[in-house]
Amino acid sequence: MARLNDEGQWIVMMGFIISISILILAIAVGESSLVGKTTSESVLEFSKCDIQDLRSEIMTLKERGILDNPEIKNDLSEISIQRVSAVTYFSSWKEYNYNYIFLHFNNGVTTYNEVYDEYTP
Amino acid sequence: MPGIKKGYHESGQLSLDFIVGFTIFMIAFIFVITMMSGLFIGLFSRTVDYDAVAYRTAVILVEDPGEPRAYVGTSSWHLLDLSYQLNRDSIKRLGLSLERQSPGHLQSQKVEKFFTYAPLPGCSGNDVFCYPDDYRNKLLFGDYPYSFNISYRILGKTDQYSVGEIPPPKHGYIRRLVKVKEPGASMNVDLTNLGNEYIHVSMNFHELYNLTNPLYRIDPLNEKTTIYLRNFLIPNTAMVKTPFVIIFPTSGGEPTEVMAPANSPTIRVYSEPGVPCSSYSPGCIMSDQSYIEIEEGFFKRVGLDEYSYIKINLTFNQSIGGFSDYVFDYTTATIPPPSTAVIEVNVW
Amino acid sequence: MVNNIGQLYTIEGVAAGVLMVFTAYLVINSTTVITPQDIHIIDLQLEQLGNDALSVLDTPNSSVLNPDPAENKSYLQRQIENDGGNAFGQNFSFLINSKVNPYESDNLNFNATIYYRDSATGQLRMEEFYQSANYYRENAVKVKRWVYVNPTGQNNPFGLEERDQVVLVEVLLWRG
Repeated sequence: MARLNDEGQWIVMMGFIISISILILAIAVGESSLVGKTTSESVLEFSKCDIQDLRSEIMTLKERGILDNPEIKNDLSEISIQRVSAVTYFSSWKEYNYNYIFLHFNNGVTTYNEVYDEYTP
Repeated sequence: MPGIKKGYHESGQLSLDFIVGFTIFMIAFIFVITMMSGLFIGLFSRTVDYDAVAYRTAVILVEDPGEPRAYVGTSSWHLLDLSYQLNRDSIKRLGLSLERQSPGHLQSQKVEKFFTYAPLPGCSGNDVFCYPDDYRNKLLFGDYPYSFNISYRILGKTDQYSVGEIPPPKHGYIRRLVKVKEPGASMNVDLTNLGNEYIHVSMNFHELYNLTNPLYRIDPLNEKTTIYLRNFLIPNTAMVKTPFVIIFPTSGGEPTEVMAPANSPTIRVYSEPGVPCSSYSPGCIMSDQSYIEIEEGFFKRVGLDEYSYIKINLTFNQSIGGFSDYVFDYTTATIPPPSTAVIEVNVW
Repeated sequence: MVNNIGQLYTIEGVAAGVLMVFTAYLVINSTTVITPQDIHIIDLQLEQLGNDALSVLDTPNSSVLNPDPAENKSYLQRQIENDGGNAFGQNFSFLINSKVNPYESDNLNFNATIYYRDSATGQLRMEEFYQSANYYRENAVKVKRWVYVNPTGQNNPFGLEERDQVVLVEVLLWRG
């Protein structure tokens, strides 16, 4: 024959259009399926209780006046690394009329740094 | 028309080739659509995560002091009179915690204020929260009108506070345990019977408010204060003058005296538990059961703040007092231990 | 009847079908669908409740200004210093199982252990504190609390060093 019969090409064209539309829908609009993280998972992942507990403990130590004890610092760092899987560090110093405490917490997902100051004339 | 080659008769029949090809195409198309239907489920979800809303509500209640919070120049939200619409609108969040730095420690006055409510329309113009609108706007947030039930009970007691209806079987739920600061510091004054007819109880507010942990703080401005009198050796000793407060200005200068007014909030003298003194002439008979109660809000009424220094004068008709002041501070006064409470939040 | 004209539509149809299926396969393979799971909400509720209960037990009745050690030490600190595992267990169980309705009670169980550091060797030591039930394979969460202790002069059977120290109380908590 002199010329290819292209009357059936509409079927392939339909197939092509459908494939492209699937691609566009899936990639552009279907992105929502990639971020299907539940609220519970996000809440569990953020270590709010760890940070609040650590802060409360540092305040307890401050009220008892034993923040400078090196053994306590080692206790906190060592147990924190091994059992909480977090790097925890604190230090305290005094400048002019202020007492300062620096607190650091990092569990790989969340990092928390705080400098707490208290005016003590 | 497909399926008919040029020159053929228009018999109206599809060729076998067309049918086969189109069938294969349709089968594949249906197969693909079936595979794709799983991908788009997330787009059409209509479920609301009620547990997440309950959790968020509980966090605001238990860990947030609310807005407006007690700060220099502003009152905490529980001290505002809701009869005024301006005050009601200025409350942005209902949080029960004492302070921002003390999550999980609640203030009992905030709890009591939180659970005073009335349904519309009886609530506007009164000092109560509107159920459910105020709670939806100031606690649950969001466009969806959630139904809720928040309940509270101090462990060891059976009475509960509650706001909201009975939850249906399926609902979002969270339970929290908290410590609640019980208001009211008290001090025992052991009379020394040395020779004065009056005694002075001195209070340095700056020292009292300097304690960093708010759960153990003595708070005479916002809570009631009780002074118990002990060791009356002479029978029929009576208080013969209304108690008055000597205020020493923080910037120095002459002290001023303020008599305790007749109406609340004021300093009330009780000769026996529950029996207030009605008059001081001829005198109110005192015994070891007597006590003085400085009502909540009295010190604010006379214009004191966290830096004030005052002495309270109590005058009797016998020489029962000593020559030095009775100092009201953390070594002489005690506060009740904090109670434990359980809060449940249901959302649906 | 069958001639080379007959392959026209069949081939087109097959080609279209193959194209669509291949695209669908590529798309599905590359997107990961995470379906929301409700199971985590139980973990969230348990973890929050366990942390709350430990915090309540670790709050003393008054500040350090009060010289009475029964008042300025928290309940948890006193039980650790005196090996009061049973007392702690009863109290913790009461707290986590209490509901607002005083006639109802929840059904949660737990195991508590204490981790402390030996200052001479730097090693961590562990001590079983309380077990309310045997743990098999239930879905459990672990909550923890730092506690300051100083067991000087106390009844101290499991050999905490008599110095100011910070120990970690870990509680494994599950329903049922």
